[in-house]
Amino acid sequence: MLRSSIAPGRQLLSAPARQRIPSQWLSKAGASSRLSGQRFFADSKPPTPATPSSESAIPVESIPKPASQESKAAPASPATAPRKTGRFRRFLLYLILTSGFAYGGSIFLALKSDNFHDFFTEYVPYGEECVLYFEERDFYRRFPNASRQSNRIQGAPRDEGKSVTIPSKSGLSWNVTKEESGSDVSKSGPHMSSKAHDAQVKTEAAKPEEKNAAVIQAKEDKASNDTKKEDKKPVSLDEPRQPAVASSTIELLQTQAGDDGVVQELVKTFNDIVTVISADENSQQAKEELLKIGEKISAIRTEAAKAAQDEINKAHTTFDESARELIRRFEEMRETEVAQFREEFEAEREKLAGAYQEKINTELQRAQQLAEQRLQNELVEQAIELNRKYIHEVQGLVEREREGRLSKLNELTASVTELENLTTGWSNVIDTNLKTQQLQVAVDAVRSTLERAEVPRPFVRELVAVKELAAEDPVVEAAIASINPTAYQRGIPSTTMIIERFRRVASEVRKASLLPEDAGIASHAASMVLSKVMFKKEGLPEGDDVESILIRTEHLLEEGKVDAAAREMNGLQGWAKILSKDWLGDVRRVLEVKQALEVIETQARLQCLRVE
Amino acid sequence: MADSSETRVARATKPVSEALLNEKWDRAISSMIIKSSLGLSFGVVFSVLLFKRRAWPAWVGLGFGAGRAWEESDASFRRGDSPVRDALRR
Repeated sequence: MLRSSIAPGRQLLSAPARQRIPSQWLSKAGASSRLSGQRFFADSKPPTPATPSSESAIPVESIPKPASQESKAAPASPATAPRKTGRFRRFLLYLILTSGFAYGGSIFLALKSDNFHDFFTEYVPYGEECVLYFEERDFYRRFPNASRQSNRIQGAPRDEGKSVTIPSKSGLSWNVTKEESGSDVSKSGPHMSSKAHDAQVKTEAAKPEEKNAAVIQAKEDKASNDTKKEDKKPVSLDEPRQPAVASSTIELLQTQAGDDGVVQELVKTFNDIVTVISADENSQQAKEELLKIGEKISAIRTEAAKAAQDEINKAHTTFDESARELIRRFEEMRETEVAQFREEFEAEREKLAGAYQEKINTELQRAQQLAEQRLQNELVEQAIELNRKYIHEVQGLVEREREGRLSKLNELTASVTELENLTTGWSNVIDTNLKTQQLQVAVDAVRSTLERAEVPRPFVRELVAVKELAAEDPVVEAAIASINPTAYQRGIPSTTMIIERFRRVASEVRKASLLPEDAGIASHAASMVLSKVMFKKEGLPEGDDVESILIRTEHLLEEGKVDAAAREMNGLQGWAKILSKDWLGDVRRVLEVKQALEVIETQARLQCLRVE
Repeated sequence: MADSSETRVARATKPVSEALLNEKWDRAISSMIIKSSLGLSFGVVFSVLLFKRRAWPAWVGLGFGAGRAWEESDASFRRGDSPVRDALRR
């Protein structure tokens, strides 16, 4: 399912891609004309030139194509050369047009943005010139007077033939004719110059529009000034005019340096008229007219001067007023500021004073606290000292009292303890006596049990009694410890029993008396048989042989010397010793017990003796 | 009572030293009898089964048994005072 749904999709996807590639290629190769031709055939309609299909990257190219198509269709092949020239021309035309557009656009952009301006002027040929030209044009459009002013500045010294006196302070302002005007209008001169100067300063500081306005104003002022000057000149010329009438020559007005262009022109025309009229001798009426006109002009001038003067005065007064106002405001402001500062200063001082006061207070408090603390400490110390002294005194008193009266008590107690000791000593003596007696009784009991017994019997109880009565006597303890535990647990045989057993042992030992060291069964049998036929010795025989030792031991036993008998039997060797081992052990135990009992008895006796 | 119990205890732990040799002799004789009789019986059986009722296999068996018993008892005598330990008896 999926595959079937995808498969056509894939075809659809792949188909336009495949188509687009050749179509692009064709359009690039200029074969779009062929395509359009096909469309033309299919639609039977002249192809619309501006079809913004996705394939045509350049719409401009599609515009001329139909024309070429038509030309191609119409003349087919005949003129290849004209077509070429036409193409070349078209190419040129497009080149020029595109470059023109490009330059125009880039100049526009350069005028708009600084970055592009830099780029354009640096990298594009003739870019800088173009931009400069347009900038200049713009500048002139903005300031149309700029060029004229420069002209005037250049032209002014040319026109004036005579020497120009430059006053000492000229150059600071534009007004060159300051002194001249000062001579004429002594009052208004400096004010005017100052006013003009103000205007100039304003122009320097202000924006171009304002500057223009200022310049115009300055010009007007100047014009008025010039008119005044012109006025003055005819007035001054009035005196020599009378003779000039006779000579019928009217003096020419002379233009001054720094005059306005209009005034110059006016003067020029007037001069021309004067020259014309003076040249004409017979036009007296015209002369008069002219003179009248001059008078009129002078009257107008005076009026104008008066009006100007008034205006100036008014302006002066307003200016003064405003200046005063300014000064007043300034002073007010200063006063307020001063007041404010004073206030602030007072506040600050108050604050500082408060802070210092606080600090001083705290320090004083601290010092007081410290002093109080110290005083308290001293007080406490004194109290402690007094207490100690008091205790010392009390102690001393008590001691003295004790030594005085209570010393007798000590003596009494000493005597009492002595007495106690004595009594205890006596009781001790009695106790020890009793103990020794009891001990002796216990030891006697042990002995009696041992001697009376028919068969070996344990005597643990008796021994325990002895031990208790001995009451940790080291000697008794050691004596009891020396007894083999088996002895008092199983009991010890009596002397008769030992002798009896010795008889049995002796017969056995005699049987094994002839055995060599490492004997087998044959030698044992031989010894058994041969021991039967051996002779028995009599009396107290000497020698180390088994028979003699046995006889001696028997004798000793009969005499009651058990320890000596044991010593004799200990001298046996080999099989004889092995056979008599148990008997020897018994004998040793008996001996141990006997010795221990003897020791205990002697100890008891010794204690009795020691007590007394 | 006490006497018998004590003797029994002593007997159980270890024979009295003077009865040591007698015990060894008892053991030797008994083992001699048993082993020689065993050998003899084996010899008789062999003679009946294999040797057509000859006499000598019986004698040989007897000799074997007696020799073994002898050797054992000899070893026990040589060992000295250590008590007898017989595999057959205990």
